[in-house]
Amino acid sequence: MKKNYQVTSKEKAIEIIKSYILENQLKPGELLPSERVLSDTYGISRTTFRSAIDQLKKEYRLYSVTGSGTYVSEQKFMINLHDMKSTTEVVQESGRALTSEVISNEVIEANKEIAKRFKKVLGAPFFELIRCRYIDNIPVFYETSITDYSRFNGIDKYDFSKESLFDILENKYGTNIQRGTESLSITFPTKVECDHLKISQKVPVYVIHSINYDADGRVTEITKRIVRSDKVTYVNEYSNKRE
Amino acid sequence: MSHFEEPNYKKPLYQQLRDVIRDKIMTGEYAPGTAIPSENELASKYGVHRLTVRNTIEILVDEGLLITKQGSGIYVTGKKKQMDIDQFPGYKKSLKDKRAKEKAAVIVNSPRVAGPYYAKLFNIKEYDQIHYVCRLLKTNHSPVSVEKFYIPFSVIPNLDSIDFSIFSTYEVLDFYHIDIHRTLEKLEVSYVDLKMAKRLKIKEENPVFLFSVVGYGEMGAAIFSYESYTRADKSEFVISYTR
Repeated sequence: MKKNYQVTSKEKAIEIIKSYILENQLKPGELLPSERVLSDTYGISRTTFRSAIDQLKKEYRLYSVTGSGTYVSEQKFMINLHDMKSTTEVVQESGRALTSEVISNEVIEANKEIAKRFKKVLGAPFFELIRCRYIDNIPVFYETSITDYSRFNGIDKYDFSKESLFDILENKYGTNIQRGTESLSITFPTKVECDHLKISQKVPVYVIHSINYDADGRVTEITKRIVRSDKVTYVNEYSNKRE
Repeated sequence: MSHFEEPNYKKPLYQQLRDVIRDKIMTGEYAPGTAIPSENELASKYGVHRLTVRNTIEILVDEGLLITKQGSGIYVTGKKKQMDIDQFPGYKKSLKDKRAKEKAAVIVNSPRVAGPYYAKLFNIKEYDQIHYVCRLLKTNHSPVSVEKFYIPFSVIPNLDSIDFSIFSTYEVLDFYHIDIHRTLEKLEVSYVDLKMAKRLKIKEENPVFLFSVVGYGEMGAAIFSYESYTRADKSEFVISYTR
């Protein structure tokens, strides 16, 4: 048997704080004991607890208020992409309010990227919908969705501040999204995205490219979604014994 | 000795050697994830020609019991279950440079004391032993991820003989037929401390993906915990879904 790994004092301090939060069931916004109290209780230096708290702040688990203390962060919105539900459904099921603001809503000419993706020629008509979407009045998503205008003629007449794009495709055009893929990267927002999401350019965002297909395997809709990383955690729950 | 047929000294030597090695795999003397003796060692131990050994190894590789890794040895793969871990629906890391290949370097592969946090997570005692594996994944050009994997001794003991530069932690769970009833994956944006930043060759102000997975067993208790810090400039996460 190998020798034990010696847990570093910083790792120990991080694990103590995480366990303290679990044990005492601290809720978001509740105060953590001070560095001095932690240090006295657990016999690890204040400096070590400070650097442990720093790390947990970098992971958005804690936040500090100058002159007041360190608190447990608000839970981020948990979004499960694998559910295949529209953003609208996901947010509503969590008991929160999703509202959308239409930034632009127009028929554009396909550029090379769109033409290639949908297997159409350059200049073919496409519907481009740009929305800023809010959860409980906090701007979280900045979304650009593209659909084939020749297939969904007249789609630009709907009010997408009230209707969901998936609902319109399904209920008005009889097109069901069957499967899709999403790829998530991290980037920093552009000036326009910052203005809409009301964040500084220093806050990283997820950039999510999604491609959705109908039952015949045709590309139905593509979306580029800029998402605030300080507000959203992407989750996936998988159960082996799914009924 | 094979449990199914009478030992037959008239059988060709390569077949006899195959039976010997196969038995050692079946009885666990050669455990999944570990290296078996080299061709030279086997040849000298049994007094047979190296080509005979090679012949035997090739057969066992074809049977899927062994794999050979150039320059590092011959490893026992263990019997795969029906359900391939790779087919678990969930987030997959994907390198932006599609031609790049990742290699793993093992930083830690040792037992450690559970401590308060992992004791709670795994529902064990604070002084119980858990296994800790830390790996650095890198391409030829640069580091990509640091992975940390924790598993209690009560689930798999003696993981420290396994070569984690060859096998992923998921493969090992599979070898040992660990029944993962449910997994919860979380994908977030985070920052790292200086030590981790140096390991990943990034600056502390560069955001990374923090991907964490907790696996639960039949009884509902957590049976492993995994987290990885991944450079956002090198990779993205991809998920597919169907309705």
